[in-house]
Amino acid sequence: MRKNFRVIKELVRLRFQNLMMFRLGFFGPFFVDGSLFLVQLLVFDAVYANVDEIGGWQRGEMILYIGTFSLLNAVNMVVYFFGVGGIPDKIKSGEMDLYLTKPVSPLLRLSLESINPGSLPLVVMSLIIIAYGAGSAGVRWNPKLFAGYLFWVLLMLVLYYDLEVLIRSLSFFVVSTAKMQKLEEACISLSMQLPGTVYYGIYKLIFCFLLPYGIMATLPVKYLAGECTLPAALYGIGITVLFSALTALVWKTGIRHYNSVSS
Amino acid sequence: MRKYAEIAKAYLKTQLVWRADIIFNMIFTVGRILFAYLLWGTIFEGREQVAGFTFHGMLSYYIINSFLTQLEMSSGISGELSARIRNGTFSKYLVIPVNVEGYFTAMEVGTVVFYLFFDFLAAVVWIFLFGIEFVFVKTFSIILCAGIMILLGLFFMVQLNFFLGILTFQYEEISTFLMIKDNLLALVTGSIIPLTLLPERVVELMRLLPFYYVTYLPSMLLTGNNRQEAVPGIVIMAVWCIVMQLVIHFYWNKYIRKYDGVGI
Amino acid sequence: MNNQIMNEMIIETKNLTKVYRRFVKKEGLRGSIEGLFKREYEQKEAVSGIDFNVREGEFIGLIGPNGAGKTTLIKMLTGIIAPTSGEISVMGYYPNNMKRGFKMQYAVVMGQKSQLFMELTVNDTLRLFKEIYEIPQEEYIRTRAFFTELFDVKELMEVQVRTLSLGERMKMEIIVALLHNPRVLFLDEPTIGLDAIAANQIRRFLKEVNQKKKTTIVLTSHYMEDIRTLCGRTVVINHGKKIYDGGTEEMFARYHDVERIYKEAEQDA
Repeated sequence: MRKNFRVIKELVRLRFQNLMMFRLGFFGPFFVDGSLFLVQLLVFDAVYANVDEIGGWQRGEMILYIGTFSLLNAVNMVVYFFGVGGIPDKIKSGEMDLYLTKPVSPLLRLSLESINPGSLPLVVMSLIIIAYGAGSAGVRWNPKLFAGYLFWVLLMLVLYYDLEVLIRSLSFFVVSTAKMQKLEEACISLSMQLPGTVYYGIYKLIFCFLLPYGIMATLPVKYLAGECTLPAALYGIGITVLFSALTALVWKTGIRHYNSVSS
Repeated sequence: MRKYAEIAKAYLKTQLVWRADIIFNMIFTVGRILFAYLLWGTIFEGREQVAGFTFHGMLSYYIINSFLTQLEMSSGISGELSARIRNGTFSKYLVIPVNVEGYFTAMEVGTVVFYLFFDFLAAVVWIFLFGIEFVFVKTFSIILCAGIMILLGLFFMVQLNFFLGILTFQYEEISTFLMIKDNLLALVTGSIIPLTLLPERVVELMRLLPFYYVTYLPSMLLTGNNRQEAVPGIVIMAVWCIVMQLVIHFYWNKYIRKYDGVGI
Repeated sequence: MNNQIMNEMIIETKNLTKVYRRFVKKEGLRGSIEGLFKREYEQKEAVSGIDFNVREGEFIGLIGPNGAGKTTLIKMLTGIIAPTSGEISVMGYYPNNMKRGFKMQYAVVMGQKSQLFMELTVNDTLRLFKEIYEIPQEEYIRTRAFFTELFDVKELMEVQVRTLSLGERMKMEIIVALLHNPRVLFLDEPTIGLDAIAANQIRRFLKEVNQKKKTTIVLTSHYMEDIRTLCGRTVVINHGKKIYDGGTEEMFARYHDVERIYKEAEQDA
């Protein structure tokens, strides 16, 4: 554990030095995400100009919802997105060889070697939206509420990470995951438009179980609004455990399956 | 011309190799319609019209628009150009006796023709499966206008991405820039929401830009809206294509002289 | 030679085989469409039934034309890919289990793949590897000093890697690989693309590493010069099969040149 920590520290340091070499690379991701963020807010505003209540949620909860989703997305961008995003390429180019021959977990190294401080402003912006949403929804913060919310956000970050890795690990088995990544992207931007409370039937099956993007921001907000029932909480924890196990399995099988195509 | 047809065919064949991609492309089309159904189903609850759309009109818009959006796959061009210029393998295109822009246009045609079939299939299946009262314009002249506009629009996107790609000669790392472009395009081409939902002044501005005419206006025309914009739309789109061609011509000649083929 | 025979076996494989499956597409559009629904695969034995043994401290050469299976063999020995069948043991481990203890004891340098951070200096990369291999500070300083001295690259350690020449970069790759004093070093085409002088230098260093550090080295190469100057024993592979295994000098004495090695050794075997 301590050794892993030291490796991570070194990876982060190298990453910073590397980023400093390219000025644009440092803040580029911020503009990428910033533009996406802006588009999402605009769309959200345009759609919800027509309704004032959706799936039992008022405007305040909806703002909390989009703020929380942005926060998940922003933290993902800062910490592991670029590392995990590079996995398919590393598999395709055979560069994975170099990771497999080192006595450090390849996934750990891949996940944390490309942290991206350029997206930190987005985390701040998301926090502002959450604060604003909490204000209009009449949330009274106290240590317990805050700790609970934090717990849900962290748990959902794990789920987010699992899905991200899972989709990219498929590169071990199929030639191209480009389209799957597009699907993931679409799921994320769509889930940002609709809270998980409105899903029913087949939608519930898809967005709360198969591709559980629908519950990611929903559960933390439900908790804040005092609507988080015990079954919902257990479900959230259960599905995170399930997906973590599945991801670990696919990754492990993938490495065994790895054929190291090029020479 | 024959060689360009052959290029298109080669790329069509390339598409056939990626089986998983085809399936995902179909899931993708389906997914968007499915989601639109849910989103607008929720919003239309207890009301007849939103921004001039009926529920089925709105869904028809999404079906046509996501069909067209799936066909617009030119963003691969800028990515490919940029990557090749940077790693030095761009010379591959320079040593063969073809016009490079023509090569990429042919590549795009090959790709689009292939997906045309599968996306169409997906759209039709879903119209029936969901029992959507599909709203489709019946005037032939409007269909023709929309068709021309779509072709011009797709060509414009090829031009745009070709242009962005060759900017790599000058700016080296443009991938960030390309991602921002993709994010904004999703909004301004109306593939997330119909642009009429946006404030009128924003729409006014967008009418001057080419992106309004790539998938948004054709989708509106085909669902029987915005008739009076059909002909002016074609003119504006054509003007943009010409302007873009001139820009490409200018920069291509400028950059290609400076290109020193680093790498290989 | 004699003292090597006394040493323990460090690599042993028996009847080692790797089969790849690849998709065959018929020509033309029709073939493409057929391939969409029904895929035909052909099996290709990249490595078939190879017995390959190396003793601790040996410097062994692995040669063969392109696509002969050299790299596949190296990938199996390092655990990157799993063999289809056969037995394999490297330092007592089954490589594809990817045990930490195993990875701590070997290193691999692939001529075509760089471990270095292009934008940073070699020292930056070394720092990361120090942590990855848990090397204590003093040992790190000592080893680094030893190799920078040996390779004569002291003044290049604080230079951006991108600006190094190919030969300099290869020296650095080898230093990075040797930092944790591995028992076995796998080198896949280390002199590829290098000019004669740089290749010569690399060879001299490798020889010294083998002698001073007693590192077992397995080297694949296209260049006969590499094999001739470095390896006491050579294994020749063609079409996935071992066609020669024995002293390097004897091999050159018997077949004279490369072409004949590939052709005649195959017949002899």
